[in-house]
Amino acid sequence: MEVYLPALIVFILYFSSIPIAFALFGASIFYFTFFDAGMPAEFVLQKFITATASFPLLAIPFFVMAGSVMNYSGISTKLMMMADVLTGHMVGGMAQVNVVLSTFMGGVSGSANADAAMPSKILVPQMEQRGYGRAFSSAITAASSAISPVIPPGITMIIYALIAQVSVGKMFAAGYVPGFIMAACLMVAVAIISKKRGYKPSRANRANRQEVLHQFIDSVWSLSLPFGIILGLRFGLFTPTEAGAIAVLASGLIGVFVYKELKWEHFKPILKDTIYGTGTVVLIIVSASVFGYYLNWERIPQMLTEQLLLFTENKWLMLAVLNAFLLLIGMFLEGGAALIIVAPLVVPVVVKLGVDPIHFGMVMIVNIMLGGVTPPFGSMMFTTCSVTKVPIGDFVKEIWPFIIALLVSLMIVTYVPDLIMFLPNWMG
Amino acid sequence: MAGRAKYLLKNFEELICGFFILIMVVTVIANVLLRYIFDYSIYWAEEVSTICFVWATFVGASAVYKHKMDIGIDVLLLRLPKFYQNIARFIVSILLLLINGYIFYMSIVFTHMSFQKPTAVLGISSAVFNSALIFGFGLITLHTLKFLKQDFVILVDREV
Repeated sequence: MEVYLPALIVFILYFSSIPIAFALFGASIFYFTFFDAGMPAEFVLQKFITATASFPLLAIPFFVMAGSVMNYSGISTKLMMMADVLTGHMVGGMAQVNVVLSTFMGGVSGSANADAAMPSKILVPQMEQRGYGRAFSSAITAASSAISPVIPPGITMIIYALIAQVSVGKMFAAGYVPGFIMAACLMVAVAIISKKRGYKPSRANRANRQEVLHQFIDSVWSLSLPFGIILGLRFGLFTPTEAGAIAVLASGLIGVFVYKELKWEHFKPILKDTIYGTGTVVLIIVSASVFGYYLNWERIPQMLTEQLLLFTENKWLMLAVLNAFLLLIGMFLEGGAALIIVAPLVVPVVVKLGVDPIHFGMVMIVNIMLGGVTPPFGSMMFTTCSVTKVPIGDFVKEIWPFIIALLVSLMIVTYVPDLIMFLPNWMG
Repeated sequence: MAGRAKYLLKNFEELICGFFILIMVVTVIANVLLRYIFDYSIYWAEEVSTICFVWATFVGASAVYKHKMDIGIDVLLLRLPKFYQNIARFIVSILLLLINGYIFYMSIVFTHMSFQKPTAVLGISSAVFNSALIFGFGLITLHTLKFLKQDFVILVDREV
């Protein structure tokens, strides 16, 4: 039983408010110091370096930077206006705009928590001004931020692709359909609640075709950047890391020459966003990889695989079991860390049963993100509530309908694989 | 002059990290452009950008730590009465000091042990990668000490 001690230590440290990366480091160095892992404890430091010194991981700071450049280029405002002309006329207009904006944005920060923080700061006060409850606004913001990581170029998908050794381009292509399903389910939930509570549309009339076209042309650059990246990857023009660097260059050029909003004074905040984004996300990846070394050394993935396969060899039943397991993990651990620790444990099981690893990647990401907004410990719930100053109790009352909506989308993503896989399969 | 020194000290990690990130971005973009325009690849681009990334990660981690921006949950801690909260924070700071201080110490030993090992492309000492750990965790340990002192002051003040 003592082999599970490091895992227990992670939970104790994490719940006593130690950041997840340091909880994982603490448990790992405890293991390598006091257990026989076949090497001197100092050599665990080699794992710190090998986990970081990987060229594909460089995609992370690049996409974080591209996201920040887009933000300062006024692209976020344009996307919000685009979302408004598409959905502002519906009941609960601002809440619908919130959902559509998350779908347009893509999870470029690498952490769903950071993706939830931005709209919490910008959209929640605006929604409150227009008569929406603050708890409701926070709940829909947290729920919709679960969509961003599956929209290209979401960094969570890059991390999964590296672990499961699948094509980043295919993962990106596979992300659109789950993202749209999640958005559609959340929009239905918003419509039902808004109708009941009388939340008004954000614009008096439905936008006419000309307005939509005008807004579309205005946002076409930012909307087409991910497509450019996917096509570039598909035709082997560049690696995912280079795609990130190209995205920085392209969004910078768009910001300066097309939207003319990117200024020299934005340079410093963009660099700071990149520094903090990289420092947070990559450190979690490193710590989870070091912890993963302990799991591997103790053959825990193999034991888990054997146990799970003893339980059932039916892939649909297995997906149900894994969904329940992942949901639980996602509720307790930060999304990125959960993915890095759990993916190597469960991907071999599902692949053995004939599930496409790309399809399973989508199931996993949607599931872990859903866990992130689920009480009592969902990390996106805490992020949103701390930004908007909503008591957790009030948030919990408002989040349930959206959790149900996201659960419905998880079921569709899990059990209709053809729907998820047609885009990546079409890519060849 | 004193103002500038204070700024440099306050943003120490950000300045170093920003420097490495810029080199990384320029190297990778230049490599792609050169490949497409002049059909020429910089053979050291991948290694240099990876070295910069390692430094940006561990020094950036210290910047994040300094601002207490790391992702964690303190919901359970916040449920405790104020006095016990302060005790718990002090204990957590001691634990963090143990973890970070030990990693800092091990990174010195490890860098020393693997000093002779050359890197794959440039053939320089692998200390160019490994010393990022000493630097990053050294700074993190310093911040931990600062937080520990703050938590101690709060705890003692409260008791008085």
